[in-house]
Amino acid sequence: MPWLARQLVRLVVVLFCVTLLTYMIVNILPGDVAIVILGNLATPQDIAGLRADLGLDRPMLVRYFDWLGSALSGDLGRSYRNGEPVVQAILDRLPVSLQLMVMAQVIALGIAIPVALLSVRRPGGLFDRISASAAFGFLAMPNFMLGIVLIYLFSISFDLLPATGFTPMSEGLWDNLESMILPSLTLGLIEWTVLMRVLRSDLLTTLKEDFILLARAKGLPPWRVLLQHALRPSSFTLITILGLNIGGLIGGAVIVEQIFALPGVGRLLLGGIFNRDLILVQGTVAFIAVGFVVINFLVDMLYAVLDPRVRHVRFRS
Amino acid sequence: MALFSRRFGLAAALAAAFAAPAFAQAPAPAPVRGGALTIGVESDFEGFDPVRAGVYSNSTVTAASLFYETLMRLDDKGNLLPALALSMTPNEDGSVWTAKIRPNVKWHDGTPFTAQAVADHFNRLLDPANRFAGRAYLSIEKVEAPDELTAVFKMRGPNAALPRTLAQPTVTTLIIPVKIAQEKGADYNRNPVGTGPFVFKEWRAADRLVAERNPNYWDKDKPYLDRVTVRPLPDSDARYASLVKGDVQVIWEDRAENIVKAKKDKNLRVLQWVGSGALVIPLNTQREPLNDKRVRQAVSMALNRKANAAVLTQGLRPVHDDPYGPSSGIECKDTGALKYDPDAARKLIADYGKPVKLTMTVTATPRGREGAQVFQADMKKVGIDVEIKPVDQTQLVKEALTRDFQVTGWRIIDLADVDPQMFANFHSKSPINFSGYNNAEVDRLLLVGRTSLDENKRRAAYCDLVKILNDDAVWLWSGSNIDFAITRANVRGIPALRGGAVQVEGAWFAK
Repeated sequence: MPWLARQLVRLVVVLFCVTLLTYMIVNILPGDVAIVILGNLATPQDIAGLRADLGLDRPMLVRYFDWLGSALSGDLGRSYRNGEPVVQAILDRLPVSLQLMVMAQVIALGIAIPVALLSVRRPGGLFDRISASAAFGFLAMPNFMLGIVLIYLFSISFDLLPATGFTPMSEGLWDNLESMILPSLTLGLIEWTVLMRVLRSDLLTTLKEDFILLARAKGLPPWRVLLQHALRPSSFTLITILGLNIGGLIGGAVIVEQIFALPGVGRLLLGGIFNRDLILVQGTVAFIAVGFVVINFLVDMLYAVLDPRVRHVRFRS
Repeated sequence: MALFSRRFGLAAALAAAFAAPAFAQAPAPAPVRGGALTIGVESDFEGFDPVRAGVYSNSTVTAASLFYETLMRLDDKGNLLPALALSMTPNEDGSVWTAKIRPNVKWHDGTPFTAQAVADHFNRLLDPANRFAGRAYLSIEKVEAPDELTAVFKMRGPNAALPRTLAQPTVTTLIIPVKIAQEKGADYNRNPVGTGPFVFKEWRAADRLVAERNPNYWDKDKPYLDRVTVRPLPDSDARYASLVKGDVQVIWEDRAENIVKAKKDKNLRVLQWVGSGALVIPLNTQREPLNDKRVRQAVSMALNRKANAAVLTQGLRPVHDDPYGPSSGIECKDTGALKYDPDAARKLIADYGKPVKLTMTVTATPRGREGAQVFQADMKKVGIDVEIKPVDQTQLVKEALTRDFQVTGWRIIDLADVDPQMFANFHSKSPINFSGYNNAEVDRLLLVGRTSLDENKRRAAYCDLVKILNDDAVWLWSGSNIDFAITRANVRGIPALRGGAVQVEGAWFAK
């Protein structure tokens, strides 16, 4: 089977497993959306009636396959809580989360690549040691704490940026960016650390290769050796980590959206969990899972672009 | 009407003066018109159709009271004021109440507000097919509209509490246009129409709700603000930071650290309201060993309620010996409360003669766990072992309703009249009496409280009632319902935070 087809089959299997597992996990969570909707004073009869109306009295697997059938045709159902179509709810909030993650990733790479390049110029030197300490410091910091520290610094002490809230791009690009800087920074300042350490380590290995020695022997200036010769072959692990870290980034976004009151997918998911809005949680998790798998699929494809040897081996097999 | 408009008025006035110094201001200068106010609340809104939303959190009541209104209103002293109804008058025994509807009021879409709309609203909530859970608290049989400006409430029995019950904004009492809601179907929940001081403009889920001044509002002077935005800001530190920065001008707050900090900040003002009701610890009287009065009394005497409240809330939450709270207007000289006395508790346990082990079911939240831990520590001192069982909120409700617990944490919410909840919690025939408590004298006193049109009789009945409950140690009162809002120093005109809702109909910015 060609590589691409094999990847696609794998994608389908992974998605099936992810959605089924989510469905099972969400269903064994204690709590009941009927009680959430009807409140503390509902009679058992009303609760049973509402459960029947919502279809929650049917066996779990029957409900799962019903859901799967609709999901395949693009319908993720309607929120039990407020009747909003789940697809619509996700699409409304997706731009916020995407912008948050892209900006965070840009910030993380924007810090990680220059710091890694500067570190390997003199491994064990002062800059290398300071950057390593800083990286461990940020890595050890939980993002909810970093978020609050950034709010106190940039919103209250320096009065530069809004503390919370989101302004859509349609109301002005600068206003939009202003509202997204602190949340992206919160995610990015933790994300860069791993990227930097991985890139630094790979660069050190690459710099010991013969072709680097050759480049140096040709008399190329050190920055050209680093940028033009060492960076590209050192970036494979970085790209893998970028793909895999999407999961961490989504997890971080859930918390960051909550702190900064951003109307993103993460907050939608959290609200769904709190309200036991199973169909919303199911739809959102499935959506995120698809996103995660597709991005990692694209990352795999990117290897082929970066390294012709990979492309050759993969497509031949 | 006159009889009821000043019900508990004096007592409530004294209580409010004692409980809420933030509201006792010098004669205020005239309100200034204009400005846009942003309120930061804790959670997003469930929606604005009571049948679909089911319950309104205090965040939702804050938003809903921008565009919806109640029939009557309460001032900060607890006096009844007319709102959508000009008056409410009982028949001889209080089993029928007649509301005279304010003329010339219009819904935001321009159609007239009539008595029929009042009837439609309440009858819809009462219809079992709609499964509106709040109907368990309503003592209304049905509502009729004999003419355009008269709504007649037929009660299930004599009921003295109706006008006050209808005066506090809740999911039940805020009146919606059923006809419009039915026309709009599922969309109505997200696009409300009301008669209130502000007209709904936009709700971006999880981000903001915007309402603008209603130029055709029946109270011509109000509202003073041009625009109100309500923003759900779930993280309490970020919410407070937004207020300090000035991004929002009012926040609802419950985090003690932030309230203590705000009290020291001259740019901010703290509003506080000690409502009726209480945080409570129900004991299941049907389960061993709590079916033995000695054990319940021992638990009550072992619990150092005042010290615990001081530890848990930095001294912000007052503790009372009854579940009424100062704003209910019921002040009992003698509550018969069992005093904190670990020695006496130990003796009672020794007298009981068997080891006592209890399980306390609480919500799996920091607040739930902290409360359980101080309970556990107090009980350990008198030889009672307590196991803490943290569960999800909905699981806790389920266990409470099915009486599948020994000790739990609960709340009697802040309502304008104590009858609906006291009756539901302690009457032997109530489906929500989840302690399984059965006492004929208590049933009788609850009926007096519900039906007597004489305010002194009602008050005496509730005081007699709490004496029995305290002696029997059925539920323990662990702290008052207290709500806080913090505003920028120039925000004026926010009334008592009843039920934790921030109402801004009369709010304005001082120059």
